[in-house]
Amino acid sequence: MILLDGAMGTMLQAEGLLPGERPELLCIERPEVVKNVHKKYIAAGSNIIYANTFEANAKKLAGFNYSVAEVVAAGVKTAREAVDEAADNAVAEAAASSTSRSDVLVALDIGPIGELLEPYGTLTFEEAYEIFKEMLTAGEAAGADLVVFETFSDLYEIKAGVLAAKENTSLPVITTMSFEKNHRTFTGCSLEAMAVTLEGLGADALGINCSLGPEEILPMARELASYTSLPLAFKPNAGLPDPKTGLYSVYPKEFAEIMNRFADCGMKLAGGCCGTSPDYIRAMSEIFASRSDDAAADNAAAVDASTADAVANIAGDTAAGASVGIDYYNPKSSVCSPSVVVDTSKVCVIGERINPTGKKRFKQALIENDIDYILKQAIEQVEAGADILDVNVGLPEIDEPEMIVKVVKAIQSVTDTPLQIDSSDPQAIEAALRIYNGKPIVNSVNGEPEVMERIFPLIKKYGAAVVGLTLDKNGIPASAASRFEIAERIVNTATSYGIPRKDVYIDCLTLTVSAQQEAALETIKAVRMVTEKLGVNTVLGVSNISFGIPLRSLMNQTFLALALGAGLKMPIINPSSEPVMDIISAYRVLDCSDSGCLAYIEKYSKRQSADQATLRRSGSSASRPTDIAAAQSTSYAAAQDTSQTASQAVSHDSAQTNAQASVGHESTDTQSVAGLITYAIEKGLKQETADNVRKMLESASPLDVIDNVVIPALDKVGELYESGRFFLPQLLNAASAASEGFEIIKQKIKETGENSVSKGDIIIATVKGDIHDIGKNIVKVILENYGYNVIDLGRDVAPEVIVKSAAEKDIKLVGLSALMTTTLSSMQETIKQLRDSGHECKVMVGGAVLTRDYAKTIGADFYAKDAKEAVDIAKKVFG
Amino acid sequence: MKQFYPHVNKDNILRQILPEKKNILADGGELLANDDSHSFDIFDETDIVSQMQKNAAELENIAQCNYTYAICDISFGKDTADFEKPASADHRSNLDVPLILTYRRRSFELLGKDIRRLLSECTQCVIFAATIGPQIDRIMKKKELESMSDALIFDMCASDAIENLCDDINDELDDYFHSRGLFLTDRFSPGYGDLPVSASVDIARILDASRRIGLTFNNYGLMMPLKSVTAVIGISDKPQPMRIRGCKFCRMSDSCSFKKRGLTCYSID
Repeated sequence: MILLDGAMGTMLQAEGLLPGERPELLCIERPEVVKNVHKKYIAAGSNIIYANTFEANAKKLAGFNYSVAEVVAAGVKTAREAVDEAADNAVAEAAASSTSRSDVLVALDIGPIGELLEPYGTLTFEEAYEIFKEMLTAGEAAGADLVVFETFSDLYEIKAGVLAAKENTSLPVITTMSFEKNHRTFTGCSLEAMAVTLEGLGADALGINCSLGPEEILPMARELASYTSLPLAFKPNAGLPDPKTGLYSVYPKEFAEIMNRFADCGMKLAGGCCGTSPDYIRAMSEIFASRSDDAAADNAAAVDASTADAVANIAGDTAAGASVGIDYYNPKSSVCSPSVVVDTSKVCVIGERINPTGKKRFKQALIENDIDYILKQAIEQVEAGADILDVNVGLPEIDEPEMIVKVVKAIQSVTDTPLQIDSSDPQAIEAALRIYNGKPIVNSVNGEPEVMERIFPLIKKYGAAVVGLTLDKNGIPASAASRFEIAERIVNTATSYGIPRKDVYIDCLTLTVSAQQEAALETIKAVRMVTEKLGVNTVLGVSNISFGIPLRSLMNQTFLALALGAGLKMPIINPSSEPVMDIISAYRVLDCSDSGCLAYIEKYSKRQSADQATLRRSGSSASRPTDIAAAQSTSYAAAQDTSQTASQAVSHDSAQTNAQASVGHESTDTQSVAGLITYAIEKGLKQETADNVRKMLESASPLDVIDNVVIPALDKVGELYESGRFFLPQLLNAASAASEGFEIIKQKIKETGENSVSKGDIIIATVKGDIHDIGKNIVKVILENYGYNVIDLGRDVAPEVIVKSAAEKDIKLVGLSALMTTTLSSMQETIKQLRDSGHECKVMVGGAVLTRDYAKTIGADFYAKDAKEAVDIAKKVFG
Repeated sequence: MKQFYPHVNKDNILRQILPEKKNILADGGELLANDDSHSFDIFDETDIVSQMQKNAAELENIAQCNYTYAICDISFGKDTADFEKPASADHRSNLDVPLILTYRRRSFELLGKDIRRLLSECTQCVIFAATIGPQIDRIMKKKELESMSDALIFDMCASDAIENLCDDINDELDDYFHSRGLFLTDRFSPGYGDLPVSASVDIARILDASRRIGLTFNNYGLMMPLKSVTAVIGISDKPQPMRIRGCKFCRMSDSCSFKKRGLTCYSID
C-alpha cells in the first residue's frame, strides 16, 4: 500500500492559522507553516505528499500579485524541502527508525478550476486545457515527481487536465473524482464512465476522494474495481461534517479500520481528505503493516523503494496480475458519455442520420451552420431508441475539423448518448477525439497499412474504440474468407498499437442487393466468422442493402435479422424506421438482453390490440364500429409513419412523392387548406400544420403561404396572447406548429431554387457572461415564424463577436438579452462597441431585469418586453 | 443532513401559465372535473395542464437536491482588518457600521441596509447554498429544440423546485432552532432589496460550496448550475417578524408581468 497524505486545510486551521482567500499563497508568504504540515504527514508514514497547489490556477490567482508558475513552484519547493529535512532528521537520529524517508514523493496537486465548463458553464475545454498546462509545466519544472488531479466532478474538466499532463509533461498521473451518495458526481458522471474514459486516456491510477466518508465510499470502491485494471486510490473525508459545528464524524482508528477493507478490492494508494490529519495516516500505516497478505507486502515494498517511481512500481505490479484487486476487474466492451455507458457486447443501435450523404436538407444545414437542425436529428434518433449516434459532417464546402468540433460539442450539450465519430479526415478525427466528453467510437480505418498507421495512434492516445472496414486498396473482397483476413489484419495491427481487442469493431460491409445479389449472404457469413473466430464485435451499415428496391424496410428487416443471427452487435440504422426497430426489439427478447420481455411487452401490447381489431374487422363483418375506427386510425398513423421513415432513409425528393401519395388525389381547395393551417397553428398541431402546408404548396407559392396564411394565423394567436386569452405556452405551441410549416416551405424553396423568403436578417445574442437564454430563444422562434432570418449567436457572446457579425453580414437589427443585473454592463458595452464601430443598425434589448427606462440609458433603440413586441419592432425596422 | 427530494408545486405553475384560473387542480395535482366556465373557444386547457404535469414529473425525476449550510457569528460595527473584502465593488451603504459574518475564523462583510435590518436582533445566522443540479440546464437545452413551450414550463418547474428545496431546508432549520428556544428571521437572498447579488460569491466561498454541492460562479458572478440559491437566515432569541415578503423586496418588481396585471407570483394564503 502506498500511503498518501491527509487534509492540508484542516491542519492549517489546527495550526491556528487564519486561512486567507488563497491558501496556496502561504507557500510564498509563510512556507514554514505548510512545511510543518508536510513533515507531520511524512512522519506519520505518507509515501506521497501533495504539494499545496490545489487551486494555484490562473483563474483563482487572478488579482493576486503572484504568477501561477511562482505559486506552483513555491508549493512544490516547500513539499520538497519537507521531504529533504525529514530525511536529514532521520539520519541525524542515527537511523533509529528503520525507514529512510528520502523516498517520499512530491505530487503536484491540481483541483478543479472552480468554474463550470461548457456545456453547463462558460469555460471552454480549450481554456481549461491551457489553465492546467500552465500549472503542469510549472510543477514539472519545479521538480514534482507526479501529478494528482483530485476532487473533480466534471469528467470533461479532468480529461482536459489529463490530456495537458500527457502532452506537456512526463509525470505519472493519478486521477480521483468526488462522488455523491447516488454513485454519481454532481455533473452526473458515473464510476464506470470515469474508469473507461480515464484509463483510455492513459491515467496511471484512478479513484475517489472527498465528498463522503470511508463507509459511504467503500461500496463505490468495489464497483470501481470491476471497471478498471488500474491501481486504485482512495482519499475519503473523515466521515460527514455536522453543518452546525463543522466537525467530522469518523476518528482515526475507525477510519483506518474501514480503509483496511478497501485493500481487499484493489486499493493501492490510501489517504484522507477533508477532516483528516496525520493521526489518520498513522493509524492506516499501522493497520496496513499488520496485514498478512499482499497489501502488507505492497506496503513494505513501497516503503523500501528508493525514490524510483513507486507509482510505476505499482502500475507494473498490476500489469503482472499480481495485485490483490485484479479479481474484481471484469473487462467489458463499452463506449460512453459521462453519464451513459453503452455495453457494446450487447446489441446496440447506431443512429445513421447525422450524415449529409444524399440529403439535401442536411447539406444545406451544414453550409448554413444551422446546428439546431442537426441537433433535432440527434434528439429524434435518441427518442426513437438509438444507443449511439454516428456523426458525419464531411462536405467539401466546409472546414470539417472545425465543424465536427462544433457539432460534437453541441450534440453532447443536449444528449448523453455516446457518439461515433465518422470521418475519413485524420485531422477531423483528432479534433473530435480531443473535445469528446467520454469514450467515443471512430469510424473508420480499413485494411490499408497507411490508414491504420495514421489513425491507430490517435485511437490509442485518446482511448477510443475503432471501426475497421474489411476493405483495402484492392477494394471490397467478394468472399467472406478474404474479408475475414482483412479483419484479422486490422485486429492484429490494432493490438500492436496497444489498443485492446475489445475496442476494435469490424464492419464486414453491406453491398446493395439490387446490384450484387450474391454478395448479401457473403456479408452475413463474414459477420459470423469475425464474431466466432476473431471474437470481436461487429458493426454493419444495414440500410445499404435495399437501395433501389421497393419497400426497403422489408429488405432491411430481413437482412438485419440475418445479421443479428450471425452475431452482429452494432447495426447502423435509422432508428426512426419502426419496422427495422421492431426487429431489434424482438431480437433483444431472443438473446435475453430484454429480461422477462418487459421492454417488448411495454412497447407492443398496445399495438397488439390494434392488430386484433384489424383481424376482427377483416374476419367478421359484425365487429363493433369503435374497434374499426380504432384500427383505421392506427393503420392510418402507421401509413404516415412509414412514408415518413422511408423519406428519411432515401431523400427528400421521394419524401415529397410519398407525402403527395399519402394525401391522395382529392382536389385541393386552397381556401379550405388555408383554414386548416390556421386552425392547426392556433391549436399547436405540428403534424397537421406540416401536412396542410405541404398540400397548399402544390398550388400556391411559398411566399403566398407565408404572407397570407401563416403570418395572419400567428397574428391572431399574438392578439389572443396580448388580450390575455392565450398564455405563453399556447403561443409557443402555435409557434412550434408554424415552425414545422416553415420547415416544409424551406425544403420546397431548396428544391425549386426560388429566392429565399426572408423578410430581413436579425442577429440575436445573450450577452457576455450570461447563460440564461430561454427568453432569447423564445424571441428567436417567434421572429423566425414571422419570416425573419434569425442569426442566433448563442449565449455568453463577447461584444466583439456581435460587432463583427453585424458588420460582416450588414445586419440592420440586433437583439440583445441579459437576465442578470451583473451582466447588464456587458449589454451596455456591446451597444457601445456597436455604435463605435460605425456600423449602422438598430438595437433592441430585453430581459427580466431590464426596464424601458434603463434600455434608454444604455443606448438601445428599442425595449422589447416580450417576443410579440420584438416582432412589432422588427416590422417597424424592416417595414 | 436530511435528504430532500425535488418537488414542484403544480398549482403554482398553473397560476403562472394560466393566471386567471385558480383551483382547477385538486391538492394532489390532479385535474378537477371539467369546469366549463373556464373554457375558451379554441383552446383546451386540459392540454396545458397535462403538458405541465408531464414536465413537472420529468423535473422531479431529474433534479438532484444538494445543499450545504453553516452557522455564522454576527458582529456589528467591529471594523477589523481581518475580514475579507466583499467581492462586490459596490459602495458600502450609508449606515457606516459594517455587518460582518464569521464562520470558523473566516469573516466576510454583507452590504446594504435591508440585511442589517433583518439581522438587527441576531447574534448568529445561517448561511446556506442549494442547487437542483446542472442536469437541468442540459435538459432545458434539449427541450428548447423539441418544444419551446415545454422548455418554458420545465423552466418554471425548475425555478419552483429550487424555491421548494429552500423552503424545505428552511423548515428543517426552523424545527431545529425552535426546539432549542430560538427563532429564525425570514430568508434573505443576495439580489433581494439592496443586498448585492455578488454576496452569493462570498457565501459560497465560506461554505466551500463548489466542493460540497458543485455550485460555481463565472466571471460575472453568475451562479452555475443556473437553478441555485444562496441565502442568509438570522437566528434570534426573540420571535422575529415577517419583514421581507412581497414585491417591495423583489428585484424584478420594476418589470414584473404579474404586477402589471395586478397579480402576484406567489399565493396569498
